[in-house]
Amino acid sequence: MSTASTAAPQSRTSYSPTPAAPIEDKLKAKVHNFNFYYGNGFHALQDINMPIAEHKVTALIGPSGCGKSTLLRSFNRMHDLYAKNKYAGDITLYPENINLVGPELDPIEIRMRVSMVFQKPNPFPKSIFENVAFGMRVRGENNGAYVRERVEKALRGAALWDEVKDKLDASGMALSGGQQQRLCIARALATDPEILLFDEPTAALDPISTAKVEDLVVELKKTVTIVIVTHNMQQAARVADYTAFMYLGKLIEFDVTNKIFTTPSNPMTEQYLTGRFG
Amino acid sequence: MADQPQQQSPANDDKIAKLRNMIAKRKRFDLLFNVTGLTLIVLSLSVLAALGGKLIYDGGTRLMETFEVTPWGQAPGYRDIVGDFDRAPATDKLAAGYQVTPVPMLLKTVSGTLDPTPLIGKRVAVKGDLSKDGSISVDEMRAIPDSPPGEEISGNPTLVGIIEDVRPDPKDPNLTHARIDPEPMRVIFPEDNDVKADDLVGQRVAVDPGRRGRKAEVGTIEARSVTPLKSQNFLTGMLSTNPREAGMFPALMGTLMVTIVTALLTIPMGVAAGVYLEEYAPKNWLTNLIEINIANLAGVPSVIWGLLGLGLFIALLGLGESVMTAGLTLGLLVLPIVIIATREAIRAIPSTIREASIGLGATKWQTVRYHVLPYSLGGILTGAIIAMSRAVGETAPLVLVGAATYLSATPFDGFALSSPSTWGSPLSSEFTVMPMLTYHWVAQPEHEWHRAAAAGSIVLVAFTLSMNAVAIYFRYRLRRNIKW
Repeated sequence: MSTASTAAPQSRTSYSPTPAAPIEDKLKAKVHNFNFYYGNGFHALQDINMPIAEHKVTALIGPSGCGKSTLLRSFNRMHDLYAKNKYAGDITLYPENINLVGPELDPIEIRMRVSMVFQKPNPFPKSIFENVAFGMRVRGENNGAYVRERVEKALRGAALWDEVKDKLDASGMALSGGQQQRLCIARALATDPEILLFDEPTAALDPISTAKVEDLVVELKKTVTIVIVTHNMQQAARVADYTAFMYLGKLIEFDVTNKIFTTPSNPMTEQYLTGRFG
Repeated sequence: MADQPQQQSPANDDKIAKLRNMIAKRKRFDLLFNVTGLTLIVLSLSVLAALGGKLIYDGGTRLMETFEVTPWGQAPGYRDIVGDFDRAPATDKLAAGYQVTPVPMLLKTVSGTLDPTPLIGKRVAVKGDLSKDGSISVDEMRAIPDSPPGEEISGNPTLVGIIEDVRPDPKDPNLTHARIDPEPMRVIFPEDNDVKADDLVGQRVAVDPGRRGRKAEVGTIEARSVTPLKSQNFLTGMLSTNPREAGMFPALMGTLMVTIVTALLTIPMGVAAGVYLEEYAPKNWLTNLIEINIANLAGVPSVIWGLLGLGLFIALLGLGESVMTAGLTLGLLVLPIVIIATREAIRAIPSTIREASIGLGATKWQTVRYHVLPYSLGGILTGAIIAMSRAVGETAPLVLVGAATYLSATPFDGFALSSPSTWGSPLSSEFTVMPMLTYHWVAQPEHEWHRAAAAGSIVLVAFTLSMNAVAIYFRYRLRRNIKW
């Protein structure tokens, strides 16, 4: 994580976060006084406080190295893969009121409820069917008819069914980049997650594929809560209900997307949105 | 506007000339590497071709040759006549009985004294001494008129037949070789023979002539014994003290058994260790130390592993100079290779695949089981097979743990020997392996042993090359659908 290379804001006085106001929507999760330290001691996230609304899209934006992906990956404990990473504070998941980053909670349980779609499409080198079915396979689901039904539902949900229904046995890697990413979305959907995390899902895609994935994100929020990290501010404006702007490990501003993009409260947000740094 | 070509100027010409000169200078190194590289490749390929050619020239014919041995693995005795045993019909003078048709033989004559050339195509009676390589040193030889078999031929010849071909001895100008196609000879069957005459009909046998020719009917053998023979070649033959009859079968079986033991030890252990180190082990100084030392172990001279096997498996564990000891010793020797190959194959899998699997709620083992192992299988199998072919070729450690240079049995004969008194199993039996025999043979003084060693080398090289071919096939087959 390199933060030193990012251009500093012109006005140091503006480098102070605006506290996130309470929101009206029902909460799915709440990030409270959350801090994250990488194994090398780097304090990547500092005192993050923000709500995640149920069945809404929340976008995390900010320049490279601001910690938005780090925050996203905390939601399903991906940081546990690498030793010595440390969480402090809470990410509370509702309605059970459990702390997602609490050490007493098994990260596997969390990952079964909070799925993730990565920046680069990463289908398994297996058949399309097995890619989508994998989430059920790890749960020990062996009922063939049930698995087939869920695979079809997930592929339909990811708007990929019509393109692949005749070649479910073909390798997932033989698909185009955009199809691969939608396959990864289907794979994440197949196990009915409560929250779906997108880590710059369109960064490696062409504009047409990007549009398809964006449409899909908007469509999916009917059934699942979505948190999306994006570099593309227009994308955040297009798909997100709420937007959080982060900078150097801090949450600078969180608000309804419309408000952030039209009348941001924090001068730094405005500077970033107008392209003066980042 | 700027379409006008610029005026040539001496300064510009000079600049271009300098530039070209500089490029030419730098390009010299490309030329140097091209030429030397190509020369070296051509050179090494020709050396390789010369070595291979020599090997095939020396060993190829030896590999194809067949030879007859008794069921207990010995060559026919010194005086034996080798031929096909059959029933003989009754004739005017003789009752029905048995006959043997000797295999074509070589007549050795001293040039000038007994010239067989005028006798080509003629029926001759030969008297002389049988020697072990299937030739006769001729004392007397004369043409006789055609006559029906069983007819009396005076002079008690050793053999009657038709001279087919005459040529000078390739080494000794004083000798002439003649090929003779012998006629069947009546066999007076010994009553106390181990195998009954009827059981020998149609088989190749060795006939000990005993008091040959004492009977009135010449061309008849009053046999002392008739022994069945089986035809063998280099691959199926047993070891022998006679270089012409030495085969490699026990070494082939020994290598096979030792390799199986090695594979059973090394592949599961090596893959498990590789998976542990890559996927489970915490990244700390201890893991680093282990990693570095595994790489070091792969470079330890093989004879040191032999000493370890001698000390650990023979002296300490009392496994004896056995297939088990050899397999375990070689297993330890190639274990680092398998571990390193496994780790490299696993490391080639991008971390995004692991994250995708873990992100869907898979446990570490499920990730290893469904993704890491399947996707790295090609690399792992390739490494494992290459490690096995390394083990197949090792000699030094096996000299130390007691690979034999002569054996009268294969490891599998241990099954047959299994009984409370002579307990034996393929694993605890004595053994030898192909490189050991090749090494032993090539150290012998006689040229015939060197031919056997060359043949052994061909088998060894073919064995390891085919293992590598399997590895290449696996790599191609399993990686075909996986491109990161």
